[in-house]
Parts: sequence; C-alpha cells; structure tokens
Amino acid sequence: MNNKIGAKKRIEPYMYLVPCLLIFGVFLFYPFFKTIYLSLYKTNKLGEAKLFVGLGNYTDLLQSSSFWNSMMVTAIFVLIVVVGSMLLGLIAALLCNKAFPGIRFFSTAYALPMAIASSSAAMVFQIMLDPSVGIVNKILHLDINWINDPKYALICVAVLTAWLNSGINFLYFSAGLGNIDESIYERASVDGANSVQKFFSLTLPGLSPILFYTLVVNIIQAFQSFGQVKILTEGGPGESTNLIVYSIYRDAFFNYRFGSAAAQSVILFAIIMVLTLVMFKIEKRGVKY
Amino acid sequence: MSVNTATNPNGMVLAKSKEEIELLHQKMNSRAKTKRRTKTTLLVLGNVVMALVILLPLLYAISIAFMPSSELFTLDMNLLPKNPTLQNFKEALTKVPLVRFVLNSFLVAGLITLGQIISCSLAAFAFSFLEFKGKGILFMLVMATMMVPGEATIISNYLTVSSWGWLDSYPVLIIPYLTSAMGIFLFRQFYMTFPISLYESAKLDGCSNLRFIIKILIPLTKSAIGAMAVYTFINAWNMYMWPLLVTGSSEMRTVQIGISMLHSVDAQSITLMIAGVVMIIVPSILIFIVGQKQLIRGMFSGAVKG
Amino acid sequence: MSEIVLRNVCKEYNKGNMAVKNFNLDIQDKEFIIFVGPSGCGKSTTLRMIAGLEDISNGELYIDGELVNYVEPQGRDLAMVFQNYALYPHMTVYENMAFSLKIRKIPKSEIKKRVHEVAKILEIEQLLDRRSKDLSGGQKQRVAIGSAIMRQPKAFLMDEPLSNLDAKLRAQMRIELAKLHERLETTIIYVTHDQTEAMTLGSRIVVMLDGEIQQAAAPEILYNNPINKFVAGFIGSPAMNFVRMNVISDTSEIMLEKEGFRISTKNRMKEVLISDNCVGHEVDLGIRPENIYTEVGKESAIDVDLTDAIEVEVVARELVGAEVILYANWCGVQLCARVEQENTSREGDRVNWYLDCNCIKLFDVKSEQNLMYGE
Repeated sequence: MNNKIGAKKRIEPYMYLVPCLLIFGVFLFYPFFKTIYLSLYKTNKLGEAKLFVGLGNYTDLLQSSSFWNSMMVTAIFVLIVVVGSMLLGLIAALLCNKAFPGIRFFSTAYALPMAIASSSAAMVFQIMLDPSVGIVNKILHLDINWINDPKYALICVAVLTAWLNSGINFLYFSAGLGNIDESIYERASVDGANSVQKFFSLTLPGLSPILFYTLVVNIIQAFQSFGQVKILTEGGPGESTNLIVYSIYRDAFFNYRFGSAAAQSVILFAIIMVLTLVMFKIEKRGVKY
Repeated sequence: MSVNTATNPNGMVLAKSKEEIELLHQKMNSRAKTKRRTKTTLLVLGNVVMALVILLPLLYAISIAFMPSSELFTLDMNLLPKNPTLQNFKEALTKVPLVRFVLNSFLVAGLITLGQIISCSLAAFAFSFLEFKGKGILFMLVMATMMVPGEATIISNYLTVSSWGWLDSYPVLIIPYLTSAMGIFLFRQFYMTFPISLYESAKLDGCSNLRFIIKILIPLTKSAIGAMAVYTFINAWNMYMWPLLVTGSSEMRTVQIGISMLHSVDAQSITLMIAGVVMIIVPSILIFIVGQKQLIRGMFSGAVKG
Repeated sequence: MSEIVLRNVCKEYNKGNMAVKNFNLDIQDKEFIIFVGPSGCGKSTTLRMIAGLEDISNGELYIDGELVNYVEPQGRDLAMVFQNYALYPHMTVYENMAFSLKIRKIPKSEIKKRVHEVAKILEIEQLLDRRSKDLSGGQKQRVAIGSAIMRQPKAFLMDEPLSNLDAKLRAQMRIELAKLHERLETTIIYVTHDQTEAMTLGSRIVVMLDGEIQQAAAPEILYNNPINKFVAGFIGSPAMNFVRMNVISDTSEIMLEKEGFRISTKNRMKEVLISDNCVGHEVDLGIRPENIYTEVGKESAIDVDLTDAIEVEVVARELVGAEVILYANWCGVQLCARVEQENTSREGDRVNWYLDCNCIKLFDVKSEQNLMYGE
C-alpha cells in the first residue's frame, strides 16, 4: 500500500467525527469548563469574570438558606415527580399489556404526554388550577388557590411534571413487559401459581431491570424541569417552587450573579453525574438480565 | 371403556353420562364466555378511566379553545362549550404573529433534526466500522456528554453566543443542537447488529465510505432514523429555556416562547391563549402519532433490552 | 395412579380451522407416551390442552377419571418442561426449582432437602446459586427438568425438551430421560418431531398428521406394522423406500411388476392383493433400507427369502460409522439401502440389489393404507 493512501486512510475516520466533535467542543465541553471557571469568580453584569474568589461562591451557597431551600424543594419535587410518573406509566402499561379492542388508541393516549411541551402544558394546567374558573376545583368541589398557596404550588408543578414524564415511562414499561417471555407465565400456571403470585413473582421482578433504568432517567429528567416552573409559578409563592434550574436562571438573568449561578450549575452537574455513574455501576453488577 | 368405570378413592363414580357431559360443556362454555366478556369489559373500562385521566388536560384545553370567553368565567360546571366558536383561534392568530412562530419552529426543529441525523450517522459509522487511534477514548468522551445536563452549561453558552453577537438569530437556535450523544449511541447500537462483512464486501466492490453510508447504511437503518427524527423534532419543537434566553424579537421567537406572550396579556384572553396552545400542540402530536410506531421500534430494538 | 383419557378432543381455531381432530387416547399410569409428527400436526396443541394452557374446543379430557376440561392449569397437578425451558430469568437455579413448592407453602427445610435431592439426581448441585440466564443450554435443560420433578405431579408433560440442544447433548439427555422415567415411575407425555427420540424413549408412540392420530402403538409395532404410508415413511431412518408397482396376474400367480422386473407373491400378500381387488391396478411397494441386500450381503442372508435381482445405478454413497448408506436409481425411482461397511459400490456403479420378500409392505395408491396391516 502506498503512503498517500495510507495517510488518507489514517485521517479519514476522524473526518466523520468532525461535525459532532466540533459541536460538542464548542457548545458542551468549552462551556462546561467555562462554567467551572466562572463558578470560581465574581462576575460583572455581562458575565465577565472579574474577581477570583476560589470556592467562595460555593461556600456562600452552602451558607445561604435560599440555596438549601432550593435543594430541599428540588428533592421533594423529584420524589413526587418520580413516584407519580412511574406509577402512571406502570399502571398504563399494565392496562395495555393484554390485547383488547381499542388497544392502539389507548396506548397512543398514554404515550401522548411525551409529545407535549412543558410550557404549553403549564399554561393549560394554569387554567385547570385556577381557583374560580378552573376545572379542578369544580370537579373536586374545593376552593383552593392551588398555584398561589405555598402549600400546594410545589405539588401542582410536580403533578404537571409527572404527567409530562408519564408518557415515556409508559413506553419503557410496555417494552419491559413485552420482554417478559410469555412461556414463563405458562410454566407458572402449570406449576400451580395464581395470578397474584404470578404478578409478584414474575411480572414485577421481570420489570426490575427496566424499572431501575427508568427510575434513574426519571430522576435526572425531573432535576432538569424548568419551563413549567417559569410559566406556572416563577419559583413562588415565596420560594416554594424555586427548583434548582429555576434558581440558576434567576441568579444569572435577574440578579446577574453569574458566578453563583455557575456554581449551582456545577452542583447540578455533580448530582446528575453521580446518579448516572451509580446507574451504570449497578447495571453492570447485573440487575439486568 | 376405562372412563365409564373410573372411580376416585372415595368410590364416587366420576364419569358422567353423555347427556350430562353435553350439559356441562354448554354450561361451562357459556360461563367461560361470560367470564371472558367480563374481563374484557373491565379491562376496557379501566383503560377508559385511565385515558380520561391522562387526556383530561388536553381534552379540557381543546374544549376551552372553542369556548367563548364569557362561558369560561362562570362558577358552573363547564366541561364542554355550549356555543362552540372559532373566534379564539382567529384572535390568537391576529394578536401575536403565530404563523411566524410556527414557521420559525418548523425551520428550527426541521434543521436540528436533519443535522442530528447526518452528524450522528457519520459519527456512529466511524465508531462502528472504522479502526483508528483513540477510538475508545473519543467514544467515551461522546458518551460522557450525556451526563452533562444542558441546564448546567446554559449560562456559559449564553455568554459565549452573546459575545459573538449571535443573539436573536436562527443559527443560535439551531447550531448548538446539531448533534446528540443519544443519537450517536442509538445509531451505533443499530450498526453493531450488522456483520462487519457487510462493510468489507462493500469495500471489496469498490464502494467508498461515504457511498456505503448513503447507499447501504441509511436505507438499512430507516427505523432508527425514523425514531430519531420523531424524537428530535418533538424535543426541538418543545424547546423552551434556550430560545427564551437567546431570542428577543418576535421575528425570531419559536412557538413555545411566542405562546407565552399570549400568557401575559390579560385575564380575559385565557380562551385565546389556550386556542394558541392547542394550535401549537397539534403539530407535535400529529408527528408523534404518525411516528409512534417508528419511535417505539427504533428506541427499543437496540437500545433498551430488558 | 394417573390415567389420562382423551375422548374426541378437538381444537378449533377461529372457525373451521381445526388444529386437532377427534383425538382419542387412553394413557395408562407410568406410560412414557410420545406425540410425534411433522411441525403443525397438532402434537404440541394437544399437549397444551392436557396442561390446560389451551381451551379444549370439543371433547373430554379426564385425569384419573375426573373430567378436567374446565379445571385451570394450576388445578391439574401436572408439571411441564417447555421447549425454550421457560426458566424464571431473575431467579437462581435454586429459586427456580423451589418455585412450585414455595407457592404451595411447603416448609423451607423441606424445600431445601428436596432441591438438593433433585439437584443430585441431575448433577446440577454446583449450579444452584447461579442465575438461570447464565447457564448453558444443556444446564438450562437440566434445571427445567429438575424444576418439573420437584413435585410428584400426576404426569410430566414435555414439549420438545431436547430440540434446542446439540446432537451430542441430545443423545446423552435421551438416555438420562429414559433412566429418569424408570426412577420416577410417573406418566410422561412427551412431544417431539424427531422420530429417533420417539423410537428410543417411548413405551408408546402416537404418530400425528394434520391434527389426527395416524397410529398409536409401541415402537416396534409402528416399525413393523405401520398403518399407512405416512407412518411407514415417518418412522425409521433412513426412511422407507416406496416404489409404484403394477399388480398383474399371470396364470395362477399374482405378481408385482415394474419395467419387466417381477416379484411373485404368496401367502398373506397374495391373499390381500386378491381380496382388495388390486389385480390389474397399481400399489405402492414399501421396503426399508435395511431390508435391501447387495451381492455381498446376500451371501450371509441365508434364511432370508429374497426377490430376484434388480439392477440399479448407485448415485451416492454415505459412510455412517459401521454402515454404508447407498442411494441408487432404479428405473427412475431413488432407492436407499443400508449395507455393511465392506461394500465397495461407488457412484456410477451398476449393481444388483435384492429385496427381502418378508419385509415388503404394500400400500393402497389412493388411501395410502397399509394393505397388509395386521391388528
């Protein structure tokens, strides 16, 4: 083989990677390191690093009750969202597990929320939750100011998010149920198991690998919620729905504290990285089959 | 015949006469039929209830969109519009340049989808069929980007593009999203199922790499591309935070940002706002319904195996 | 005690599509019964109806005299081994084997004892802690059988349990299954499409085709006295040769004739040909490869009543261990003969073959029934 072809051959593979590496480099790796860099500085209103403060932004955050509130609120939010959306997805998937007339319509309906934007959904929920004209109060015969009451606002945002995320969970669980070999149910019947025993000894454990995967994906997704907060509550009332991403947004674009926002971004990244790594670790250990 | 004499340990004769058996068959068959029918009915009923719960926000939105504003503001139950009207849609279209938003969103989401498919198939091709130095590390690097949430880099990205003077333009909405680690992973997962001999025999036939991708790989991975296209388009259509930050003028706004302009107008225009929401949800829902099968097949055939 | 009786059992899928037609069978206690037939013949469906996994469309199924058509699978007290093993993938081998006892709320210590007992029999003790997905095919097979024999069910149902194993393992498992049957002393109903498996394992074989029983009999009866052409061709390997012959009458003799070659008939064969009005018509002659002799074999076949020579052209030769399978062309018909290794016939040779008169079967051309079938 001659040299020229050899050189071309050596370089060619990288050409295919150029587009994606370029985008990742400019819009992901560079800003990622820049965020870490910014988090070590005090910035001016234009976001330029002005004063090196080391871990100052972090220690400020750790001493700020607002940050801890935001973490707390985010944790509660994530909990409600994950449990809610997974339950919705699981119930829907179980309902669509056996063929019946109209199954295609229903399975489309259950997956549909994944096609809907958080911002659009938030506007619809706002009307639904309106204290005077909203359908929720009318149906439940209640008189609650859902969105403006610190007691309920977080739950409302969480329910909305759970609804949005339930669509993809339905797909995951349906796939998980479809992966369970039908013949193990037959064997269990012959072995003498009734339907309750089959559900708890076969269906649930059979779903466990995908259950776990879905759990982690859901947690990560819930952490990143933004649009619904921005439109429904703007972090309020008080700071009762000041989720971490909204807090970052507010610090950066209202308070112009880019350094502090960057530090929160790094913390958000750290949380998500740890979750992802834990997932891969456990996955390798063989929850999967 | 052994049946006629068969007895159980209690000495009870278990075998029955022909007529008795015939009667039993009839009874049990009708019982089984009833049971099956009840089961199906219950299942459908459960599904109807569940579907109502899931679809309630959407159905309610559609209902409001057709409601005259006066009908919404009552304390009575108002699930369905009594005098359906298209007025809300008309007004929503005149109050904000909704058509422009929709065109913007189609342009942005369409180009992002196209760009991702191209950049991801090229990268996935290299990662699955070619051998080169640093392949493992580069692949790890790409996969590691999945761990970085967009929200964590959004501030720096904003500062970068604003320092370039890119704010309020199409490129700023499109370019940062032209590739995705998930897409690369999905395509690679698909390509890995092809035997390497597919590539080798094409090479022996004198097929160039690019030709191989276009003529062989892409036709073979239609379902993955379909899944990717549906997923990417819907996500791009629904994008909120980034367009919110980088667009300022209404010429550049995408639907999600544009529609929230209606949000802030005044309380009397709720029905109008919902009409706008319904209009911008329709395209993403249509694409989802049309592409649902593709999406599911593509997402779950390689990526998630239980 | 377990006696399974099927009376006119039918399986009908969506209107008119009969998978099993009027299946009648009395299965005695401790029988090793085999359902065999080509794929789609209804053998698995029948087994699944016995297990309760498929509804019985028509007819009655009795287990120990009790009508069980409408008893759920869990109430029938049977155990089943599936073709794909159907191991519970998230459980260990131990848990898999213990499952059927656990759901019966049997004390843990009792289960443990039983699992170890069974594991010992099947030599899978070292696998008990492994997850079933990590096992090889042969190991999975053993675990599946082990799980089935944990209880003492009324009968074991096995649906092509060996079909996913490689040839060597299959032969080995076949021997072990036979041993197991002796040891368990329980009825086994076994489905296979492999006639070798059927012949070696079964105490009785049910040959099925298109949802109907063709013949149900002990292996040697099936081999020596097949009821029709299908059974004759299905049982035995290599398969029986069939040659269409003219039945002619020449003076007082009834002869089978093809292209000038004649076989004179006598005794039962002759009687049958006359009583069935075959003279002047055609019949299918069937002869097994092992009942064809070459010049070499002829010498040692002293007490065998051979026909005249037929001149054939050898077209292929296969060495199978101690024997040679020869394929030859005789007047446009392919014949196959199983001969001794010393035979030197090669491709292209023209040689003389002889048929063993006493082993010739005759089949009606239309109904394909064995004309010489004896009860």
